Amino acid sequence: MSRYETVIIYRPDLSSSQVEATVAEAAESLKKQGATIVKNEFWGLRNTAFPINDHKKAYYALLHIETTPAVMKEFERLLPLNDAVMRFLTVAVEEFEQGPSAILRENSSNEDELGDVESLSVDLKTTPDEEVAA
Amino acid sequence: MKPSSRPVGTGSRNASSTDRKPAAASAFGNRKTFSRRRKSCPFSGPNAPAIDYKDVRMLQRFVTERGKIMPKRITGVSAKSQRALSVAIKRARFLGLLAYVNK
Repeated sequence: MSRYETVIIYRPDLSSSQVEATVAEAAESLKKQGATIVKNEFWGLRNTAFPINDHKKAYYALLHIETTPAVMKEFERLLPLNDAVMRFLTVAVEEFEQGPSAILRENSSNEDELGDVESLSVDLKTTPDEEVAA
Repeated sequence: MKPSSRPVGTGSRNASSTDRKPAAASAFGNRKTFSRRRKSCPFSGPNAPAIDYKDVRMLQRFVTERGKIMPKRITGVSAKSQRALSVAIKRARFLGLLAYVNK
């Protein structure tokens, strides 16, 4: 079993729920072939840095898939046959990233910054205690 | 002190070298103020960010305004990280997260 990370780019002229259904469908077909979907992240409609197939926006979805290379090869063959898919990128990874990906972290950056500050202050509080205990 | 008044021979060399010393030291000092601090790789160390093609904000720091990948001599990225970084930037470009060119 290998770990794969696939980002799929969908046409923007569909509705958000339609795209999510398509992603779920793809995930379901993978599951039927014995793959495990570790994560299914939907990034929503994003502006692309340049027009892709004359579209300035696109829906993005990220899948963390654990499966055999043969299943992945078949998945990659079938994926672009769906007209909604404009592009996709699969990367083999050693370990899956924990928690939400950088894209989603960016969207909730303000909350994250607050969270970081809190965790820092907690660290500062805990270290002197540990020293005392030692 | 007039230079012509200096005695000839080894003594003159010594005298001239002592005379020049402050000037030479200040020139060296100037050079020292221009010497750059040794840059450390932004991807090594305990709190270094991971090189990830999805982290657009992080990648943007290593790309020029035009969208070119910045040389490691400017950013201080280690050779190993630079290789990984350029792959990450190219992946991000393919996915339309980063531009190939900003006109």
